[in-house]
Amino acid sequence: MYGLGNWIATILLAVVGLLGLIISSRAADGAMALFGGGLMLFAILMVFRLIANAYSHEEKLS
Amino acid sequence: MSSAVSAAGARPMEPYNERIVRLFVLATTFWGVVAFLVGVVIALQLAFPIFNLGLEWTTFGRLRPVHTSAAIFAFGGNALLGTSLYVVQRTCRARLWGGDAMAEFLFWGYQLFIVLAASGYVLGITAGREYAEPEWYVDLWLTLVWVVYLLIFLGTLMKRREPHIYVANWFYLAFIVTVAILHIGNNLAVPVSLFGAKSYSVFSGVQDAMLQWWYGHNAVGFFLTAGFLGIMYYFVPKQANRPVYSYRLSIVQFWSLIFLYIWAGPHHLHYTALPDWTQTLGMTFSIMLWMPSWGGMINGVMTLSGAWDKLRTDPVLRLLVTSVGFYGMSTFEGPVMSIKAVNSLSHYTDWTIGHVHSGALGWVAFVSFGALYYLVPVLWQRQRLYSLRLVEWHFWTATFGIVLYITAMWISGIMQGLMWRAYDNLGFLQFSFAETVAAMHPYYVIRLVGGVLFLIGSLIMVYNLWRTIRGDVRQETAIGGAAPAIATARA
Amino acid sequence: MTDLYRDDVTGKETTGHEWDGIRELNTPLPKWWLMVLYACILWSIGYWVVYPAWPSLTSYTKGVIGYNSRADLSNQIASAAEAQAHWLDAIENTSPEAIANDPELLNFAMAGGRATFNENCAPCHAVGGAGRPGFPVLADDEWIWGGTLADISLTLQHGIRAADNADTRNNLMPRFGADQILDQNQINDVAEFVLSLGNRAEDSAAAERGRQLFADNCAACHGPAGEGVRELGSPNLADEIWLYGADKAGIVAQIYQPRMGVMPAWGERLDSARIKMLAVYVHSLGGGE
Repeated sequence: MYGLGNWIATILLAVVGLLGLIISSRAADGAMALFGGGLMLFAILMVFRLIANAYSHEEKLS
Repeated sequence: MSSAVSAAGARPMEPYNERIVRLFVLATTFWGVVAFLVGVVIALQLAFPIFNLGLEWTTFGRLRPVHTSAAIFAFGGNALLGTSLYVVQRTCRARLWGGDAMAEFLFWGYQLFIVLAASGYVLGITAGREYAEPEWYVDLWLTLVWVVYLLIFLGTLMKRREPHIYVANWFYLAFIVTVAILHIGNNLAVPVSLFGAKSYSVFSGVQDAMLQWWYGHNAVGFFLTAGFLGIMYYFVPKQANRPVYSYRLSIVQFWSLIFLYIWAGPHHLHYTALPDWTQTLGMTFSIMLWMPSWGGMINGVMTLSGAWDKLRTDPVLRLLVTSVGFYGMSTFEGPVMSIKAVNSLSHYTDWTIGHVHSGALGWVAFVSFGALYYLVPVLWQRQRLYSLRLVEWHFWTATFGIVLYITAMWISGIMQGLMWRAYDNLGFLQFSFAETVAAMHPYYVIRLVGGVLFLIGSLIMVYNLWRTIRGDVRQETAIGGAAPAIATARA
Repeated sequence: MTDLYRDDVTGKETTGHEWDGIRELNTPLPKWWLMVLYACILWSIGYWVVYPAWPSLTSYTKGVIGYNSRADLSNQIASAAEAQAHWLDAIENTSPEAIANDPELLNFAMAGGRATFNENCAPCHAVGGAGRPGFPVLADDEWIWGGTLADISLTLQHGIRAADNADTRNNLMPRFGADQILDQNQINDVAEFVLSLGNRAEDSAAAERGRQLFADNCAACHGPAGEGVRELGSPNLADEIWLYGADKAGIVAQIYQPRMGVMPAWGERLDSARIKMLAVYVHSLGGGE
C-alpha cells in the first residue's frame, strides 16, 4: 500500500515536471517561463523527497 | 487526549500522519511572521511614502497584495490545512486517506502556490482582482492542489471509525467545498495565449464587480470564518477540557451561517452601479447573519462554563477566548457597516481597514496562535510549552497592538468619512482630498506602532515554539498561583 | 458510543457522542439568541416590502415607497445645484473685476474659489498658493505672466505650455548648454553675471566677462537688467525669487538645459463661473495687481 501510493505519486509528478518543461520551452513571456521552470523544479524535488521518505520508512520497519 | 482514550478502554492509538501536520505548523509560523512583517512595511509606506524606495517592486501597490495574500492564504491557509488534517484524523480515528505521498504533495504544492503568487505580485503579474490576484495558471495550480486537499479530507471522513462527524469537520468541509466554488467562479478567465501569463476575466462591468465581491466577501465568510470556526470547535474544548456548550446551537449556527453568508457580498458595492435590489439583498442578509455568527461566539465562550478560573492561569486558553471575543465584535460591526446609511459614511474609508483587522488580527490570528501553542507540544511530544510566561507576554503585546490598530483606524476612518461629506453653508466642499489625507497621518503612525507590537508578539511566539521544539522547559512560577500543569495534563 | 453521560460541572446532559475526548452538551438554543435572529429576519422581510428587493426574470420588486438610488442621487445633485444657481448665474454674468467689488458675490466667489483651488490647484501650488519647488508661489507679488485679474483668468483658462490649446501661454528658453550655444566657461560666466544682478556674485571677474554674453543671449527676453518681460513670460532674474533653485548650480542647470513647467488649460475642465471664482481667489491670495 505504502509503495503503491508512492509509485502513483511519482508518475504523476513526472507528468507535472514534463508539463513544466513544455510550458517553459513554449513560454510567451518571462512569467510563464518561470512558472514552467518552477513546476519542473517542484516535481524533481518532490520525487527526491518521496524517495527519502520511502527509505526512512523502510529503516523504521527494519 | 490520552485520558479520554484510556477511559474508554482498550482503544488502540491510531498511527496518525502527524509529520505533515508538523510541516504545516512550521509553515504557518513562518508565513505568519512574513505577513505581519510585510504589513508593517506597507503601514510604514502609508505613513511615510519615502519607504516605497522608488523601486517598482517595493511600492505599496505591489506589496499590498503580498501582505493580504500572505496573511489570508499563506498564514491562515496553512493554519487551516494543518489543523484540519490534525482534527480530522483525531476525531475520525483514521489516518489520512490517500497515503503519505498525497499529503506531502498537498503541503509542498500549496507552498509552491504561495511562492508563485507572491513572486508574481512583486514582479507585477496580476489578474487585478482583490484577494484573487494570481494569474490564471497559478489559479489552475491551486485548483489541482485544492482538489487533492478535498480528496484527502473527504476520504478520511469516509473511512472514519466514529459513528458521527464532529462539528469542526462540518465547518472544515464547508470551507473546502465553498472555497473551491468561489475560487473557480471568480477566476473564470480567458488567457491571451496558451503559454502567456496575461488573462482577462470572462465577466465585465457590474457583473464582474458583483462576482468579485461575491468571492471577496465569502473569502471572509468561508476561508476566514467557517474554517477558523472549525479550529475553534476543536481547540477551545480541548484546551479548556470542557464539553462543547450546545450541540443544537452548533447545528443551527452551521446551517444558518453557510446559507446566509453566500448572499452578503453586495454590501461591498452599496451606492454603485449595482442594482438597488441587489444592494437590498446584500444588506438584509448581512443583518440576518448577525445571530448565526454570534452562535459561534456563544458556543466558544460558553464552553468555558465551569472552567472560567482557567482563564487566570492558562494564557493559551485566554488567547483562544479573546479570539472568540474579537470574532463576536467584528461580526457585530460587519452587519452594522452593511447598513446603507452607515455604509455611506464608512465606505472607502479606513474604518473598513480597521474592521478587517479586528477580524484578521483579533480572531483569525489569535485563534491560530492558540492552536499553534496547543499543537507544538503535542506534535513534538514535549511535556509542555517552553514558557507560559512568554505566552502571556505575547498575549498582552499583541492585544495592545490590535487595540492601537483598530482604534486608530476607527478614528481615522470616521474622520475621513465626515471630512469627505462636509459642505460649507454656501454648498462647497469644505475639505479637498489632499487635506483629508494629511489629516490621517497621525493615525497612520499609531497604526504602524500597533502593527509593530503585533509583529513583536509573534516573534515572541516563534522563540517560545522553537525552544519548545528543542525540548527546553523554562523554570518559572506558574501564572495565577496554579501549578503549571495545564499543558502536562493532555500530553 | 452513545453512553449517556452527564456533565459533572453543569449537571447538563450530553448528546452521548464523544470525539477524541470532546463531548457536547445538549443545551437548548439560548432564547434571546433565537428571538434576535427572528427579529432580524422579520426586519429584513419588512425592508424587502419597502425597498426594491427580489428579482424576477425580467424585473424586480420595486418596494412600496418606490425608492430608486439613481433618482435619489439626481435629486440630490439637482437640489444642490438649485441652491447655488442664483449665485453661479450672477457670477457667470459678472466680470471678475465687478465680482471683486461686490461684497456678497465676492464672499461666494472666495468660498467657491477656495474649494476649487484646493481640489485642483493645491496638489502643485500648495494650499494657499504657497508654491513648491518648480511650481510658482501665487501669494507673492512676483508674476511671471502677470497678476491682474485678466492675466490670471487668461492663464487659468488656457494654461501654460498646455498641449493642444491654441491660446495657451507659450515660450521657450533655448538649451544653451545641451545645444552647444555656449560652452561650459561661458555658462559659468553668465551664471556669475546673473548672480551679480542680485549682488551675489562670487567671482566678479567672471561676472564681468558674462555681461556681454548676457546682453547677446539673454537680454532679448529677460531684459537688459534681467528684470523680466511679462509679455514673454520671462522671469525676473534680479530679485530673490527663483523657481528652479537660487544657488549657482541651479542657475547653471537652468541655462544648460532649462526646465519649463506646464500648467493645464483649466478652461477645458472647469466651467467659466469656476474659472472666475478661481481668478478672484488667486488674485486675493496676496499678490493680486
